[in-house]
Amino acid sequence: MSILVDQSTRLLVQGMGREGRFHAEQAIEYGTRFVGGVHPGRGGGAALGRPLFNTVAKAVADTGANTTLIFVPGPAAADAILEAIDAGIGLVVCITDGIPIRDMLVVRRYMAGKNVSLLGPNCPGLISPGKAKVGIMPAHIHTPGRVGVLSRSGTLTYEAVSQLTARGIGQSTCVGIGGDPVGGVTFVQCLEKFQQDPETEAVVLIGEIGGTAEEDAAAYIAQHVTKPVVSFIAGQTAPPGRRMGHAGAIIAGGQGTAASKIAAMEHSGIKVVHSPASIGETIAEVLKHTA
Amino acid sequence: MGLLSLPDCIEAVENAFRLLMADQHVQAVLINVFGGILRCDVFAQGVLQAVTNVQVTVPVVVRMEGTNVEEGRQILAESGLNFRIADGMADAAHQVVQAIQG
Repeated sequence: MSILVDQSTRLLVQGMGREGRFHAEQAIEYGTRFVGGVHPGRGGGAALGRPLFNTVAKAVADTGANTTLIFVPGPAAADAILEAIDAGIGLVVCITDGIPIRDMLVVRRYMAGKNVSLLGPNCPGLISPGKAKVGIMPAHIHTPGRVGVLSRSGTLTYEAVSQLTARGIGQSTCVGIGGDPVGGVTFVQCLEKFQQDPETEAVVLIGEIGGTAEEDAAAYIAQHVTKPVVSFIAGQTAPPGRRMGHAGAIIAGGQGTAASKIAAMEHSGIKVVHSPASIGETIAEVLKHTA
Repeated sequence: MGLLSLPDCIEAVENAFRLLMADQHVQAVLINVFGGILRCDVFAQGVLQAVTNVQVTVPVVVRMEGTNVEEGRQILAESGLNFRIADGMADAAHQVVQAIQG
């Protein structure tokens, strides 16, 4: 098994511009079932051997799509998410960065109580190696296996994955939840799924400064997760008040420091590594002890 | 997504080098890229263009992985630039420290 995406994924791409097309093509190459693209004004046409649609509703009706990958530019991206939710898509993955926070507040309110998961925005997407790739991550670094990877940072996800693969340790699913302050799927929701997934034996959790996602994850792990978790928190040397690359990565009013997150993690019995270069070897060590 | 096109990439890398070179305390530069949506070949071309426009007077260590990494490495290797190429994050950190200590 794996979480969120697998062979049953029927993928739509919203925004078939240069990036949407490139990553749709990569998804197909990886073996993901790409069923069509949505690009207003190009409905009735085709791309990469699949149909193009003007609306998500029409695309869902014709293709049975259950997952969408959004590349629509920032000013229109929130609307694209709303359209996907309305069309009954179960998993909405939004790559776009720079979506106004106010727009995302509207999305979050609209989503409440509906049967939909939103991953992102400002995220790399997710991949279940050997099954489905729904995102912008480089495919070749992944290998199927039993470690779940969960992160707010795209690049650090790739870093962790490549270290695992280099050691012959595969991944069940790698999920980038995104770096914006208002997003969808949380660490806790993913941890719940990884805990339930019989194929996942251990989890890598990569957090960063800002917000309370890591503290929430630590509290949840202490109560509900029996599988070993290895964590790295980015931003250990970040000065307070400065945004570190991601909109949500900021120490504000003394809150959200790496030190407080590391303390919360360690308090919950999570193994925290202090260099991102040691993620792979630490998981290898942990797996040796559980085997 | 400000690095996706080559002109944007050149501008971003050039600005980064300009800021770093303006700081007398900077003794070496470490570039660490794991390309996802950013393609390594575009980034490598961006770096080449940028260093022709800004004079870089300190050692540069480059660690590059990810999408189109082979093309990117080839571009850097054939560039004739005196960059040190690192293999992995820990090696990159080690090399940049070594570059400073001579």
